[in-house]
Amino acid sequence: MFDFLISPFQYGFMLNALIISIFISIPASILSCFLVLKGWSLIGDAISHAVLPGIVIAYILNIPLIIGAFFAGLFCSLATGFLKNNSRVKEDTVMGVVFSGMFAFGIVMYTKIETNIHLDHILFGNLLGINNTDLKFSTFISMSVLTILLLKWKDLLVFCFDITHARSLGLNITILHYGLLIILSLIIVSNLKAVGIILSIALLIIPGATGFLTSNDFKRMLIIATLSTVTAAVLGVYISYYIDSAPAPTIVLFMTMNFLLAYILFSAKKTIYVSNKTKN
Amino acid sequence: MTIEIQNINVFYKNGHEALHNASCQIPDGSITALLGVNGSGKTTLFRSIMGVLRINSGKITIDGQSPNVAIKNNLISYVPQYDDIDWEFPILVKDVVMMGRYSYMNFMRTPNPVDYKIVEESLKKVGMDDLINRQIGELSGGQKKRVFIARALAQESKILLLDEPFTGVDSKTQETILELIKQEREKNKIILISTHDLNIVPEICDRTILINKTVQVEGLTQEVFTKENLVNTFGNHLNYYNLNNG
Ligand SMILES: Nc1ncnc2c1ncn2[C@@H]1O[C@H](COP(=O)(O)OP(=O)(O)O)[C@@H](O)[C@H]1O
Ligand SMILES: [Mg+2]
Repeated sequence: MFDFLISPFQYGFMLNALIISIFISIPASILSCFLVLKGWSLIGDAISHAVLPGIVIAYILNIPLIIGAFFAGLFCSLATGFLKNNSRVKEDTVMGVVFSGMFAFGIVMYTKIETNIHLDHILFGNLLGINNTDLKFSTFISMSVLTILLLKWKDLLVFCFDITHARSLGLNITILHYGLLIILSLIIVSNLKAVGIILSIALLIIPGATGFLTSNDFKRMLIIATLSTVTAAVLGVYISYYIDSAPAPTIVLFMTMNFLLAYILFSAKKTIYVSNKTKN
Repeated sequence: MTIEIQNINVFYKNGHEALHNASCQIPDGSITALLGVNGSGKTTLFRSIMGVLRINSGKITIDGQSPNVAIKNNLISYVPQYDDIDWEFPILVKDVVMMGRYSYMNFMRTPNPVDYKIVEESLKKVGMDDLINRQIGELSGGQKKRVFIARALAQESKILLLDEPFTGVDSKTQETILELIKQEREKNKIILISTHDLNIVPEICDRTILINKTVQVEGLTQEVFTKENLVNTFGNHLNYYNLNNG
């Protein structure tokens, strides 16, 4: 049994994969709770796609890919906000246009340019190719974001729950709004190397949705979201080793199973709410 | 202290003009009723006072200063209309009321014993002290309103804005709210209540503002609350609003 438990970790890359999965799960799960409650799940989706052209441009300019990704993500959220405020089109529509446009632009550039970047690594991550620099970077971002979220979760909660009341408390709504968008971009960038664009969307939606289904109270929602995701991360890395699958999608499969379990155990009633919120 | 609203125009992003050239004054030490049909701009007026909506022209001052200054000084508390709250939100009654105290707390919003005491007293005042661990959606319409009234009381602000506090509540809740509002008036507060229920207006409101995209009339209730003015504001809806007197 003991052998079974430690045998995957005779390989350094497996250990790195496990550590990084746990480190990125925690802040992503907490952030996910705020996104689900604010109805911002689609924004996570959009920013994740929008980082692609940033990566390619960063490659061309020979600057760290992460920086390009971060600014492209930020550009997507700002452009969405600007277009929404200056037209009659609804936010989710505008967002769809902006992120699919940026994603397409990224793909076109990618196919035109000789790069050593693997598209499938950007899309699906490369959990087994994590080196120590990646590990340090992701850990640093994750822990910084986690600290901010734990210090300011009450302000963010009022912001999600009742924005007029947040205003009456003298909270700076603009800072909370853009602060949350910046944190979101940072998390996506920090997840990129490990789980990629497509799977990082799962990390931003499923934990919050699972937490929501099982909770009447926000603290409980945070705890369940985090625990279920960390469990999925550990199981995913393990099982992928034994069934010889890619770890990131295996993690997402376990997260989905957690969600289904929550759905079965706690009434289906709340799911309708989550899907309505996600559409907003 | 007075809230002064001078010739404000407010447009929503879709280009709809919700308030046109509206002006009124809301003094302290009195209860002011804001009366108008659905869609007449009552909530828009509240949002403008709170500064969550940008006014396109005109001016709002509170005690001679901008609403931003008033908000920084914790002068305003706001009870939202029913539809503005997401009742599925995972939050408990006691935590909602504690949110009223945040502006008194430190950076991390850690409550101290005074905060706990005031939250408890506020919940007692509205008669919700036995349901503090309920999720807010698991309450009746009247109970939901009481929670938000308790939050506003816990905030201890000079100005109380109540957006349709009587809509969808039972008569016991209505009595409780009316009693509490009267007590708050004694503390020399500015109290603005929007309502459909015309019957309570002559009973407790010192002043009345009639609104229909613009302020049609404003002043002391005994002068403004006339059948003629009401017909002018509510038109054919007047019977629907079930006016028994005046
Ligand atoms: N977010 C919004 N976007 C566009 N129009 C709005 C919005 N909110 C309210 N309106 C419109 O503004 C007018 C005034 O609305 P409101 O202030 O909510 O009225 P009341 O509170 O008196 O029912 C209505 O015609 C309403 O349809
Ligand atoms: Mg209204």
